[in-house]
Amino acid sequence: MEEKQKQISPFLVFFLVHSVQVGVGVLGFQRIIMKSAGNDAWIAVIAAGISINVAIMIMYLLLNKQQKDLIDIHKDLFGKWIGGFFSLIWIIYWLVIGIVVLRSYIEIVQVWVFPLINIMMFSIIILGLVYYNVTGGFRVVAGISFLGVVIPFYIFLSFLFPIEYANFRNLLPVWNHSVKELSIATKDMMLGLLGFSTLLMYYPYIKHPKKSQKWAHFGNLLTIGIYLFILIITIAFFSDKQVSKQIWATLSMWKIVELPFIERIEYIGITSWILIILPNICLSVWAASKGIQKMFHFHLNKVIPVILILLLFATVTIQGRETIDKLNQYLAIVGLGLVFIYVPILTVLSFFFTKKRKGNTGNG
Amino acid sequence: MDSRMMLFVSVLVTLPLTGCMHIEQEVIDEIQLTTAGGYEYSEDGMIEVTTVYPNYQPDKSVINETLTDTAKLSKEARDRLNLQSDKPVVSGKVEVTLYEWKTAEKGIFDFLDTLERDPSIGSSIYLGVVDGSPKELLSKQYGNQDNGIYLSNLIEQNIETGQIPKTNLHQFLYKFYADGIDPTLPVLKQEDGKVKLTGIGLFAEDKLVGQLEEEQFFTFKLLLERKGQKGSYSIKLNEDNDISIYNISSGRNFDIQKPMTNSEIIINVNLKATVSEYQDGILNKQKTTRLEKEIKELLEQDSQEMIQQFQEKGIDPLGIGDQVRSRTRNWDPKKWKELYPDLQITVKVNVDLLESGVIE
Repeated sequence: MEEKQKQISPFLVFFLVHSVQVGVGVLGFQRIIMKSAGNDAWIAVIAAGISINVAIMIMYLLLNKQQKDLIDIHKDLFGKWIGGFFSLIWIIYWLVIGIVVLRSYIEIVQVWVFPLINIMMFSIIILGLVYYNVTGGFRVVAGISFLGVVIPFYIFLSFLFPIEYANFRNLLPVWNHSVKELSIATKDMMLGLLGFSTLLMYYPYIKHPKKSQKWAHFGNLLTIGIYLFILIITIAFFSDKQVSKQIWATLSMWKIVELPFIERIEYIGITSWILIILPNICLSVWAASKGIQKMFHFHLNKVIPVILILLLFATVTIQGRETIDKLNQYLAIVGLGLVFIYVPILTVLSFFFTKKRKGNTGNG
Repeated sequence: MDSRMMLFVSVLVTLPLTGCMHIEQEVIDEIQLTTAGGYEYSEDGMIEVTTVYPNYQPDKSVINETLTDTAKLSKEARDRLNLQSDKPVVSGKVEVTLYEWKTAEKGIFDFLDTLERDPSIGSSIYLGVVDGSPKELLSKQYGNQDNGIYLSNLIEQNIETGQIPKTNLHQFLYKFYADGIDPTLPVLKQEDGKVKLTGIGLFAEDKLVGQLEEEQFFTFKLLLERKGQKGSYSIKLNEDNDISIYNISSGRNFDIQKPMTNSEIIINVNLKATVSEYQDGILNKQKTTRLEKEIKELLEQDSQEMIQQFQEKGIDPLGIGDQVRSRTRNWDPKKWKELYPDLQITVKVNVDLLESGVIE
């Protein structure tokens, strides 16, 4: 456990979990899940939400038992080398989340607002902001998560405009797809929600961590609520084949909005969205650098610039829609494996292992 | 370095960087904002594109200027138009795009691709079919106003007062992509320096196949909208007696007992209206009841004829297919296309004349 003054209140876990789940994914998830589940995609969202809640429960089971972060659990269970190897996988995973989020956001800016934008400069400016936040320590990261949820919340009200053209009959007939199609959609849906695994790193920073579990569940619930809200409006607003053409269906819905003082609301939306993705990048960079610091005993403020330069390099190198899409897919598969296969196994192992050790001390 | 110094330095470093982002400036005085575009196939398969942009004069009057050129793609045509223009032509403020009748008959989806793809074009812009030449329509001056805004106001005003059903780029694409409903667009005609909305163009997918006349607008709107309002309907009752009614609220629902079979589909329409003009003396209770019955019969007859016309053409602008889809699991659009022309579709109208204005 960390020192008292570095810790955060348990309710902030609500914002930490929620903010990292809502990022660039919200802007274009509809096409991916509706490809297999069509008008029943909302069922997949609910199913994904329940699965994520189970995953959060398992994570808390592990963490409550161990009372330390993932790196230390690995060290205890597998020793320095094997444990270090597993830790490194997780660190790379978080780092790639940061890269994907930043690159996808820049892609949106490129396509929707400034086609000629200099990616390098734009990334440097965002990463400067990230540097400022992450070097401030975990409390600042938690603070930016709170602000990243509360300040841009007005954005979601703008999705009420498309209701004028919504045709809610599109939701009928319910259960028009097979269980198999729905489970594929559920899997696809979960990909955007996996960022909450950073919980494994910041658990020791929570005051009364056991009390924070309900807040983590609530955070996930709000996420599902937002996804569901946007998805139902999307289903009603677009026809089935139309939505399959929209790379960013959420942004495309904004094309219908007309306000007297601004012709295109996307410009407000996309610029506000940076507040939504900032906690995403900050938290994943923080988790990755914290991990490296604990493994190699470097000073945290020296690790962060190195990671940010890595991030910058990756962001500038990745070009084009297809590469970004591919990266997203690989990341998703790895994330799914880590959260739904690796963590449960680790939990079982940790229970088994600690019990055995207790038995040993009893005998000795 | 303490944190305050850090902040100061990072602000100092990042601020000038914003200048290096290569963000293109578009100053309003230095671009040519086109507000409307007209498309027409010329004889050799090329597209003739006409754009109109306002030229604001010092005395606050507006002169509409047009540019015309032909090309294979509409964005290519825009580049060609740039060659004729002193300022770059920008399409971010387009309000209306128009398609010539014969061009629309060949299909307009190719023209819509760029509108759908371009993030700077809103999906609430209006599309229209021109009976005549779009070039001629756009090059006329309609009052002291910019033509794009004039045409957009013309269509918008008629949607808001309930003359024609809602229409815009989004609605067209929605219906184009949907299997169970076909799109419609307003038809415009230029005569003696005035533009008039003369019809509602009926499309099969993206190809124009016919149009509804002015007299049919009211009935069409009644059948199309689940909940409707506004719009007037004038009926000739006998030789020299006419009545005009105004729609207070209307509701339409489908009664489909056995979807995807040959069984009858019933469309129930509930119309609450007031009398706005009546030429046969005093309106008393018996007369009202008789009128309700006559209007009901006329509306039913009109809608039956209209639907028959749709079935003969194999188009479904009312979205009957969509209603069937939402009642069938694993709906098969191909099978529906075969069933549709021979279906028995009955319209049942219920008319309530609630008020007769301030006099009896």
